[in-house]
Amino acid sequence: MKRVIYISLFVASLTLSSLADIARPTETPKTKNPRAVSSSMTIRLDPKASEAKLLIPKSQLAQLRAELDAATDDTATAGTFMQTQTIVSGLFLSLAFVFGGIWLIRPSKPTIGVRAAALVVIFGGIAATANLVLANVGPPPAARSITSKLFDRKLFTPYRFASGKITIEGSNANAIELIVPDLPESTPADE
Amino acid sequence: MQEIRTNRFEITSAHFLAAGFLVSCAIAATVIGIFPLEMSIATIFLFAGAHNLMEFRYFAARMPLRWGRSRLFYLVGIGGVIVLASSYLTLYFASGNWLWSSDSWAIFAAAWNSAFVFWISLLFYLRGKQRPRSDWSWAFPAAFFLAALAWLVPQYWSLALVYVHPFIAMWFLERQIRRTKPAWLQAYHFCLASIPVFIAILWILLSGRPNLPDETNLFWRITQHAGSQILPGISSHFLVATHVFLESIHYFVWIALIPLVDRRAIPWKLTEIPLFSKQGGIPKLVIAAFAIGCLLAIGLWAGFAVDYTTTRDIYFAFAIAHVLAEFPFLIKML
Repeated sequence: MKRVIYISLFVASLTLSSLADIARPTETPKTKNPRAVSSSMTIRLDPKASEAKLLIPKSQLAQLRAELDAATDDTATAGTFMQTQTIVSGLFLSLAFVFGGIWLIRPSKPTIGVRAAALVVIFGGIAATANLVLANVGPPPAARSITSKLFDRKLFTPYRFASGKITIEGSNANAIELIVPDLPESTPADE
Repeated sequence: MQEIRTNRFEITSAHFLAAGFLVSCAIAATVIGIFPLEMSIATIFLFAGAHNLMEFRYFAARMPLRWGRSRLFYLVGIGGVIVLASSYLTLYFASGNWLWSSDSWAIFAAAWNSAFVFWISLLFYLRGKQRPRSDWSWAFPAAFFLAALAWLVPQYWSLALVYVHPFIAMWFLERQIRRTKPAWLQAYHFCLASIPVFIAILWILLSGRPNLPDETNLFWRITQHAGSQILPGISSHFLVATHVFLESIHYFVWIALIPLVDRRAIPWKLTEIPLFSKQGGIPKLVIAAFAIGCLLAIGLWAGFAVDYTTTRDIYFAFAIAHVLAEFPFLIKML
């Protein structure tokens, strides 16, 4: 019986390289990167604006859309892997804790020294991870909203990026326009 | 009654081992630090095939004629090497095929890594069952944890394998010294402890250097293999130098140190191989295997001379078999 299993495994491993007998699709998908659309942009500080707004001329939106239509859509496949990645890694991590816990609390074999070492490793690992997570603290609140504060180099330099909510709209203008809320010196966004 | 003891310092062969190792590492680190790309090309050209042959020779000497109660262990070990190596080669050579999207490649690669980890954990478990008063069932939670990492951060996982592989040779040597030259053990531990020091020196000297040129296909492969794409914040000069330094030690261990420690690993002493010399052995097959191994090593040199880049790619694809084969023999020595 065992021999049959091993031979089956061996044969199965060889079949992997045969790639099966699937016919080639009539048209191999061609990858095409979207071309960049050249434009100009105006940045305007607006004290009345409450949220950043990106206004893109409708003509350029149409141009971008045409480029995107022609390009291969990889977004769906990238999402599939990320989804599988999360599910499988989560499953394995749970099983690691379950099996590790059973191994730790079972009555007989591991000596106290081994258990203590295992606990040190586990809690050391958790502590190290917590440290990493804390060290990965995000930028200050002012750099997490797109406002006039971002034009202060002191605020922008440590992280070299900022992010925040933005509204994207089509416009009838000729150039792209970014409207940024112009905040006074001290606002709640600083806190 | 008083006993008077005189502690005299004597130069022993262990001191020669430590001194030789340190001097060799210092010379290697200096030359590799100055010429990382050139040394990467040279060391692989000179030692890749030769060290595989020496490894094969060592494993042949360790393979018993009758497996006895280790039968299951060897079956799982050899079966795992065949299945994992063939699936790895399929992944490697077929991934550019139209059947494979980058997404499916990533999933299969992560699945392969998981299978690899579970295979090793099974070997640990089986080995633990053979040892008196040992239970190595901790290998399963550890394997699940490592498999989770292989899925969570696949790129770092693959890079870790590249850098961990040279240390497997050092672990082999440690186990072998314990068995055949215990007097060298302390000196060897000192040698091992010196390796992080050399790497720290390389870091101090090279981490601030600009990245190595990667405009040619070969240079790009070398820097990529050392992890320059995965760790873009670290100078590729340091990464390549560290990788070549560790690989060089691993070649040195297999080609020079292990035969020095274990006379059964001396290449021409075929009578030390049970499969060759003992009654019921398979001497013709052993001779044929070594003849093929020698031809492959010569063929590898010829390939490198004709088209280094392509031969390097092919070599590293097939080299997975020797990486896998190391685990059953190493775990069996624990």
